[in-house]
Amino acid sequence: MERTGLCAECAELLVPYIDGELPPEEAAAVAAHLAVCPACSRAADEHRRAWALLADLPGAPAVDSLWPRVAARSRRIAARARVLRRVAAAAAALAAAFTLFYFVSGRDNSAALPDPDLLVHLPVVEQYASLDEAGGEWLGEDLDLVQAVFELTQEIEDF
Amino acid sequence: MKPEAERGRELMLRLARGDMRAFEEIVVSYERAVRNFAFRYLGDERKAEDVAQETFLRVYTARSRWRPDAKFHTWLFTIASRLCLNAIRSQRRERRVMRPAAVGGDGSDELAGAPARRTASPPDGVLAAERAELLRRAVAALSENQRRALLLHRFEGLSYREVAEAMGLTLEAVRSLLVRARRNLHDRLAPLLRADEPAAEGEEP
Repeated sequence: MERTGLCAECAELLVPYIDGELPPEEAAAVAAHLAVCPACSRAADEHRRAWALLADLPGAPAVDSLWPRVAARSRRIAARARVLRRVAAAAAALAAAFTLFYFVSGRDNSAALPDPDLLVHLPVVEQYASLDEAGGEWLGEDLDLVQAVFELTQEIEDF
Repeated sequence: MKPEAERGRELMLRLARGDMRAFEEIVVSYERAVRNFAFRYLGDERKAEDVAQETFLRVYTARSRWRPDAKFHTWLFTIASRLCLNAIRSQRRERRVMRPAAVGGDGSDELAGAPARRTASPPDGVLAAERAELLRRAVAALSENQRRALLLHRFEGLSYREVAEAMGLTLEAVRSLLVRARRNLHDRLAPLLRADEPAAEGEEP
């Protein structure tokens, strides 16, 4: 057994000690103890060798740089952000126009209006655009929503 | 501040101003380290590459929110380490879904490392490939937190405090993770440690 004869207190400190992560007083105490305790000294040595062994843990096989793909994707993100800003502006204008329309006409003319769902979605568009403005992250699962926003752009433009 | 840290900071500040050359420099300088980290953590080349790509995209989308007082290297590995954790979780979900279909075969054990290709090992002097395999399995057998702490500290050179920051843990928790990681590695690394013993005196046969 590794810990036979190993001082219990020292066992907990050896790893941080060899990692250079102990406060100076504690490190000095461990060093002094190691000088007189062969068992702990052997254990410390074994820790060191174990850490050294790890250096041989294989890394990822070499491949081409990720840069071209990352660059292309980041350009798409930037383009999307620009579209979203435009959509948000259009959405705001549209919302104002609807409000005005209802106010002036004073009665329900919904047949002449686009899908009411569109109106429901407008705040979402604005929210996403402002999220993007702040450099927000909408990667991964958010992509579906972004896709929906894109379709919305189309609808707004058609309208 | 170390020159390396200073450089990361500078590149990040340039990127925040929209300098794509700085972004390229960031990707080219750090991609190897991020891919290695993800590969050692996930044990899967493709997933490691996805994580690395996603890490840099997060760097890009967060460019204007980055605080210059944050150490770039630590921040980068905070992102990579979270994405790795997500990858592990979705991998586990996928597996749970796939299990009834008995898809197992390949892929189901790439992480924990089922006894793969057992070769008759020479009694002394472990071959390099076998040595690598032993190390891989020893590290894969650690708990996720132990593995993450170990990789961040031993391979990425993050201090305990930085590991704590990257993992959202206390300094005490990180210390204990590394002590336990070392303890858990003990049995699995024993053959290698014995092989490397400088002068095997008084050791049990």
